[in-house]
Amino acid sequence: MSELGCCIDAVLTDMGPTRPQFDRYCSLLEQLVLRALVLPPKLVAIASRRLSSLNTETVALVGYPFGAYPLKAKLLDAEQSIKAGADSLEFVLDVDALADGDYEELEHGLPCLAEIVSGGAIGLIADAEHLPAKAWKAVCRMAFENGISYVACTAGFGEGSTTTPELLASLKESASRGLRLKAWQDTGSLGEVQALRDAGASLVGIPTLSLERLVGAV
Amino acid sequence: MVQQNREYRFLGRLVLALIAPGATRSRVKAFLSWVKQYPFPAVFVDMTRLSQARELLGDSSVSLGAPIAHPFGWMDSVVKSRYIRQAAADGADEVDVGLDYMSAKSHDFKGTAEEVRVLTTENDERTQLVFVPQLAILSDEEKLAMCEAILLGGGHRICTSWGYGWNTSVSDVLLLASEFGDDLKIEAGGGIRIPEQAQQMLDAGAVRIHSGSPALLLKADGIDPACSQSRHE
Repeated sequence: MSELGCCIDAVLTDMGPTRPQFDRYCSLLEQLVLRALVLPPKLVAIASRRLSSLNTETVALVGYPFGAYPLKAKLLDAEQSIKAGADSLEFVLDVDALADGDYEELEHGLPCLAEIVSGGAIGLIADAEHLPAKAWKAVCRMAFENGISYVACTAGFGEGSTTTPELLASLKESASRGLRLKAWQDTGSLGEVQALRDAGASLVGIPTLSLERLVGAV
Repeated sequence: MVQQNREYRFLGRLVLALIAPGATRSRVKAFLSWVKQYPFPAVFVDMTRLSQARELLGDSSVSLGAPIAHPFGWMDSVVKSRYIRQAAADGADEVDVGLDYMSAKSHDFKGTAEEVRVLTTENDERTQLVFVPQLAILSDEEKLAMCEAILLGGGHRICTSWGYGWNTSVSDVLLLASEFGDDLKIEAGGGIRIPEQAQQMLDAGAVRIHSGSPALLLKADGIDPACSQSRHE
């Protein structure tokens, strides 16, 4: 598991977990030793304290699920998350703006994000399903040029958002060489996570709801 | 063709939205050009589209809104307040605001009331705040406690649910209407698609219906729903 675990991120996507449920997720992460817990800014402080003794990073998820907020507002959220203890950021790009050919978030946002994390990692989420091929390529190119750690091809919101190995391979082909991609797997099936790795995913996100299943599988 | 003077069964209480993903500028333009022919009470777009929408709506009587912290409510109150101010500056007349559902599910309703208090206090009162208790994830006791907390915090209007499969039942509206009466204005949202269902919500006490799939409701009012495709259900 440790080899696979270091490329799996648990992402908190369930609506209204109770505090004991959230504690349970943290306990499961202690057992599983995954790369990161990706979660909304509001929970960063508590998660950061809870995970401080582990090798699991606390990653703030800014703009989830659609990224459809003004850049200035999202940057504020990002800044507060880092102050609250996030190790790094995952930033949801506004896909509709990208589809319109508006790349302001990439051109102006990426340098601002780099300043906010000051050496920490930045991941971008660009929901490829809703992006024209030209915009996907632009995201990948500008991410690579700006030293972005990885690009996730979906936010993992809603049913049917699992990335197929075929889609991942095709997105990988049109991405800049050397850029790391992150895929999404809804059920936490280790076999399917491995299949995504084999198709070229550097990282795979899974929902926290699937952590119990993952513990049972290892 | 302007349709302001006809009598409609639903249209005067039907709130539409065009929310990401898929809300490109050209779609927003087509959608709002269609919306403003009719007396809808309100239309919602993402914050990133508010300025465009404000311009497109011109002097239309349709109220303009945006969702904030949707659908998970995962934002600090300070950040939500800034978003609300930004939305107002960009032309929003009203905002639907997601709340801290972890607090509610953990029965920290004081936390809910405090969050609402902060948001209502910081609001400049030009913007109508509509809080979203997300009834679909709450038990009946939690629904009542959540709405009580909203009232305690100074809120007086809710939209029951965000949609995306988190639906509202007629019994939810009846429960809240019988408990809080006129103190709480209830906008019903989440899974409302057919005329009978919408009528039941209105009869139960809802003042507005939010529908992401309003085709049948529009047809019931004799309107071609071709341009109405909106959001998230």
